[in-house]
Amino acid sequence: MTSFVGETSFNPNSLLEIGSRKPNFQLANDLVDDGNFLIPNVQDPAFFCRTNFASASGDKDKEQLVKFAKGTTTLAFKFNEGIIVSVDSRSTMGAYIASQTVKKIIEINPFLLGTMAGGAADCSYWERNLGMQCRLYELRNKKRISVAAASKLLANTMNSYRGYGLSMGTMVTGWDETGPQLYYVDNDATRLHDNLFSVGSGSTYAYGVLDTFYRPDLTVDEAIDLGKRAIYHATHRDAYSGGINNLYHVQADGWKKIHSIDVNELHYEFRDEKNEMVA
Amino acid sequence: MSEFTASETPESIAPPPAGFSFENVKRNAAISASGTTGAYTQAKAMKTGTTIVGTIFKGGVVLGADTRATGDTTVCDKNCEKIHYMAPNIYCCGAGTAADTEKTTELIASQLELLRMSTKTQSRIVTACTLLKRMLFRYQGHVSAALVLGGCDINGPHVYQIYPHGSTGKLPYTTMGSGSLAAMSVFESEWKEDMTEDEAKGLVERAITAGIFNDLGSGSNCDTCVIRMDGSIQMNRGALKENPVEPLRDAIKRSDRFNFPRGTTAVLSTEFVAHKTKGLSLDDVDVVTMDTN
Amino acid sequence: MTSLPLPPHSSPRPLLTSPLPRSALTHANGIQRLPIHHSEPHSMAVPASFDQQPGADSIDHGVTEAPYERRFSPYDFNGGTTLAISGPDFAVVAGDTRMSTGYEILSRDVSKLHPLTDHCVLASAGCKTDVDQLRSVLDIRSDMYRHNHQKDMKVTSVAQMLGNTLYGRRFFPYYSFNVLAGVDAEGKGAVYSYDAIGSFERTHFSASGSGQSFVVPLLDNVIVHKNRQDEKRELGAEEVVEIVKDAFVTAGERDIYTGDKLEIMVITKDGIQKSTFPLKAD
Repeated sequence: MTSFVGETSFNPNSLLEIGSRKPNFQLANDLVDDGNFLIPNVQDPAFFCRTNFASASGDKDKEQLVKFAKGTTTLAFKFNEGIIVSVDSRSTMGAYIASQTVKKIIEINPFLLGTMAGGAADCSYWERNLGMQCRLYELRNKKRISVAAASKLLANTMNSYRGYGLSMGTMVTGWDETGPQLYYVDNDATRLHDNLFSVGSGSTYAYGVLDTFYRPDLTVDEAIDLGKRAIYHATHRDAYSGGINNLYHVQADGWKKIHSIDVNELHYEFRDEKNEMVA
Repeated sequence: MSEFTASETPESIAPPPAGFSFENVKRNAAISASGTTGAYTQAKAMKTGTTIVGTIFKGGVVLGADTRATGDTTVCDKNCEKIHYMAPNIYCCGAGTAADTEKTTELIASQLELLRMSTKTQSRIVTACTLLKRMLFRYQGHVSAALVLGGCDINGPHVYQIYPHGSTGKLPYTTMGSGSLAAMSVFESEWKEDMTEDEAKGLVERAITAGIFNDLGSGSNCDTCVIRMDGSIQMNRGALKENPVEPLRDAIKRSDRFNFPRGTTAVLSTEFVAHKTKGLSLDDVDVVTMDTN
Repeated sequence: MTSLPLPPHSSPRPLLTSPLPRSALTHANGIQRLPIHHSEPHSMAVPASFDQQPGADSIDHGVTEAPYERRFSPYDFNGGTTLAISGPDFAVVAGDTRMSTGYEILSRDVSKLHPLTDHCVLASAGCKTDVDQLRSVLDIRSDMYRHNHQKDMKVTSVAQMLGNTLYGRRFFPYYSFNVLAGVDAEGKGAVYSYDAIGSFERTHFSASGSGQSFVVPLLDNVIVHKNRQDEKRELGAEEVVEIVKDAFVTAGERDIYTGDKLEIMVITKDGIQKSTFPLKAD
C-alpha cells in the first residue's frame, strides 16, 4: 500500500468539505493498523475522554451516555504455601447487571495471574497485552519473566494513558525465582508490593474479614476458606458484586483453579453454620 | 358555636391547603445537586407522547386522541384515557405530563361547575379556555399541559388549542402533541368546511392513525368524542383498535417453558397467620342476597 | 520495530466542538448564546450525549432555560433490540428492523444482522453509522484473514477480533451494542456478548439494545432456567425460535423503539437460515 497517485490524506479545509466523500487511501491502512488509538478531534482530548468515556466506579458515570461494564470485589493474599486469589463474577452497567459470569481472573500465562477490577474492557485488553509482552520477553531472554517485571510493564503502559479515563485496578501475581509475589497495579500507574490486597467496590467489606483472620501460617484449606468467606461477605453487602466465587491457588509449579461456587449457595452454607453455632 | 364547625381539627385528618405545595423544591434541588448515589435521582414524570386532534363539523365538534402513555421511552400505559370531561358540553384532550393534564382539566371542570351553579347557564367553551390559559400562564409553563379543547355552546361549535405557557388559538381544526405533525398532514390534505359527522369522524380517525404509526410517542388505539349542537355526546373509547397483539401471539407456538407448575418457584418458608375476625367467619352467617328493586 | 502501542499523538487538527467560528456564536435570530464556563473539569460532563430529549422543542430562545451553548454530538441512538441464543448444535440470532431517531421512524426495514462468515453473524444495535463502519472494518479484516490463511475465521477468533477492534476505539468508542452468534469448530452454538468498548464473554444467550431490559429477565428464566425448580430441558432450534418471537412481541409492547418486523437467523454447521416475523407498527 505504498504508491498511490493523488491525495493520500484528506484535511477538510472548509466547512463545506466535512462529510464529503473524497478518496482516503490512508483509511484502509488505518482501519486495520494497530499502531495508534483514534482520539476525538477536540481541543482537550484527555478531558473529553475522561468525562465522557470513563469507565468509572459506582455511579460516577451516571451523566455519561454510554456506560461501560464494571464493578467488583477481588482479593489476593500471600501466605506460606503460596498465594490465594479469590474474585466474584458480576459486571454492572450503571444499575443494570450485565453479567453474572464474568471471568475476573485472567490467566496471563501458566505462572502469572491477573485480576480484573474497574473497567472490564480495559482490564481484559491490557492484561492480554501484558501476556503478549511476557511471551516476547520469554522468547528474547530464554527465561520466564519475573512478577516484578511483569507488573512494571503494566504500570508503565498505564502511565502512558494517564488522564484518559481508563479504569483498572488489578493484582498481578505469580511464583517466580524469588518466590510467590503479589503486586497491585492501577490506572494511575500506582504499583504496590505487599502480602494482602483487595480491590473493587466491595473491597472494604472483604478487608474487614481478611484483616481479622489473615495469618502467614494459614494452612491451604484455611486460606481457601478465608478467601471464600471474604468474597461472600463482600457480595452480600455490595450491590455491585455477586455471582460466582472463583478461587485460584498459586503454587511453585504454577496456578491451579480450586473452585467456582455460586455465592448464593455460600449464603445458605454460612447461615446454617451460624445457626448451629448459636444453637 | 355551631355543631358543624370543628373547634380543632387534628392535622392528620385536616384537608391539605389548596394550591401547589412547594415544600419539597429545595430538598429535591439539593438531592440532585449533591450527586449522591443514583438511588435518589428524580423520578421521571409520566408523559403522554401523544397525538391529539380536534375539528369542527357542520353541527358539532369531534375530538380524537391516541392511548399511549410513556415514561421516557418505555410504554407505561397502553390504553390510557386522554379525552377528559370538562362540562356536559365541553371535553378536553391533553398532551404533556399526564398528571398535569389530568389535574388541570379536573380543576377547571370543577370551577366551571361552580360557575354553572351560580349563573344557571350552560358553560361556554371560551370560558373554559380563559380559565385554563390564566392558570397555565400563572405557572409559566412549569405545568406541562398542552390541550385541545372542544365543545358546543350557544354560539356554535368551537375548538381551541392551549399551550403549556398559556397561549391559545381558536381554529376550525388543530392538532397537538409529539404526533401533531403527522396528524396535521392528514388534516391539511383532507379537511373541508361543513363536513358531516361521519366525514369528520373518519378524518379524525385517519389523523390519529397517522400519529400512531409514524410517531413513536403515540400508539395503541384511537379514542374519539363527538359533541353535537343538540347537546348529545358520543364518547367512543377504543373507536379504532388497529394494534391488537393477539394475532401476533396466536401466530406463535407458545413453548411449554411458559407453564409454571406448582413448585416451580422455591418456597423458603411458610407461615400461617389467622385473620383477626374475633372468631367469626363467613360460615357463621347466613348469606342472603340483597333486594335491589 | 516495537509492538508496544504508542500513546495517542496530538497533531493539530481542526476543531470539531463548534462548526462556527467563536465570534459567530449567535443563533439565527441574532440572540447571543453564552458559552458554558467550567472552572473545574470534573464538575460537569461535557455533553457527548444527545443534545435534545425526544419531543423537546429544538429552539428554546432562552425562554424556559437559561441561555445555553449547542454542541455537536457525534452520536445518535437509532434504537432497536437484538438477541441471540445458543444451543447444543445451533445458534439463533434475531433483531427487529426498525430504525428511529428521537420520536421519528427513519425506516421500518433496516437489518441489524450481518453475516461475517458462513457460520457467524454479528447483530448490532446503537448508532447505525458506527455499526456500518464497524461492519466494514470487520469485513476488511476477515477478508484479509481469508486471503492470508486460505480459510474462514472461526467464531472464537472473530469474537476476539471484534473485542480488539472495539477497544482500538477506546477513546472515541463505536456506539454499537453487539452480540455475536455462530457455531464453533466443534459444531456447538456460541454466543458472545459485548459492551461498547470490547469487553466480551461467551454466554448462553445475550440481548442488547433498547429492549434489552424487557427481554433478558424473560430469557434468564425460560432459557437459562434461573429461579425455577422444575426440571430443566434442552430446547430445540424450532422451540427457541418461537420463544424469540414471543420475546420480541413482548419487547415491542413496551419499548417504543422496537417493532415493525423481526428478522431471525438460525446458524448451524450447514449454514444460515433466514426467516421473518411481523411485529406491531405503532
